[in-house]
Amino acid sequence: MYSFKYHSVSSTEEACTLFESSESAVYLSGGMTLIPTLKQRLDYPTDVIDLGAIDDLQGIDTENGSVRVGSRTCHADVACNPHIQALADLAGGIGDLQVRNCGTIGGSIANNDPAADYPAALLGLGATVHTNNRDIRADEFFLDLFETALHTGEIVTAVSFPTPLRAAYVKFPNPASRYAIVGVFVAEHNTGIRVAVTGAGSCVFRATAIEEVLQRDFRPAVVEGVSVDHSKFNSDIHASQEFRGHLVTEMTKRAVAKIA
Amino acid sequence: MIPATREEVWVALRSPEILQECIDGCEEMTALDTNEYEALVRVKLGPVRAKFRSIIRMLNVVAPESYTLAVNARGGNAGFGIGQAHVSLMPSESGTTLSYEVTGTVSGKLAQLGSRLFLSVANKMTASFFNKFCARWDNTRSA
Repeated sequence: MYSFKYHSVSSTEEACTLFESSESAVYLSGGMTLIPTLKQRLDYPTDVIDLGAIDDLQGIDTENGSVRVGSRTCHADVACNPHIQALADLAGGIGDLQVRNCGTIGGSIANNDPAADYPAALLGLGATVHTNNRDIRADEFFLDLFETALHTGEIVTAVSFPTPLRAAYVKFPNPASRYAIVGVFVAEHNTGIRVAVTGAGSCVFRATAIEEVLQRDFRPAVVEGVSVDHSKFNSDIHASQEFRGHLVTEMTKRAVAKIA
Repeated sequence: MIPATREEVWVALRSPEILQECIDGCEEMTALDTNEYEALVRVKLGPVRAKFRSIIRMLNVVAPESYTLAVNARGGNAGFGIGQAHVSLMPSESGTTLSYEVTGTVSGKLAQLGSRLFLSVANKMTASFFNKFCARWDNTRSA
């Protein structure tokens, strides 16, 4: 680790002011990606701004049919909140015990790792991301590999999830990291079916062809007939593009079977 | 698809200034030899930031048709990257069609943390290069 200045702040305004006046600052939320990166000297910020002491970013509220999760809420807390069971299941399957007790929803989505679980929940549930100065729909939030709609220095303050009629998340985890090799979030809303896929491509995406067939007939078997284009999928020592394509179908079938 | 002749595109693809302009984060680009360049490229990808000193060689040069770019990038503490891109230019009715294919590997810490991401990154950087390169011609034409 290279040396840097550490700051603990008590409000998002204070955090932003510091961020702007620093040469190259980063925000620290749960630190489950940032700290290993710093330890490996793969980043070298001059200033680390710890958001941990900002009280308004913590906690879960259920209000008018939606669940609002503060950005600094750790995965373990979301896993204990049964209001949207699929969301709790997803949070309970992230990483290991330490990651779930330290890692936060805001940190996860701001990082937008292509294999992270939360982006699938946000996109599948049609969530809204609240930041220190605006609201962004999940559909417009995740742009590409590690890229989000967040501006430099902008801070995620909370995420609001509308309660679905039914929903399930199933992933094929990497056995070491528990990152999703492929994860599929299936949700039925009053407005229709949403199917969000993480781990397969460079960024979470909606499988619209699968959504259409499930809209007509919500059974695992119908998913079998939809061809998944895997030509742009990720490929690594754990899974080829073809295998990831197969997993999209298979994980979707399992998710549908859970709630059909 | 580029609105220029194959010869014009060929010359542009070998100009250090144009290469530097089209590579994201490229801070320096010098020609060492007719078919060899040295580049300093700053890459920011998610949590990782690294500076790569790269030697770029053009192999199998068949002017003005095709070549293979061999990139050997040293990212200091972050690791090494070795990549190849096969580029070919085909004349067409309204200009030149450019196509390419990328392969590569990384080693070192980047590989430990990011091998699952490498192909996506290589594709993203290459796509961005050729998009900028193609957009350049449109700008030149309209200017």
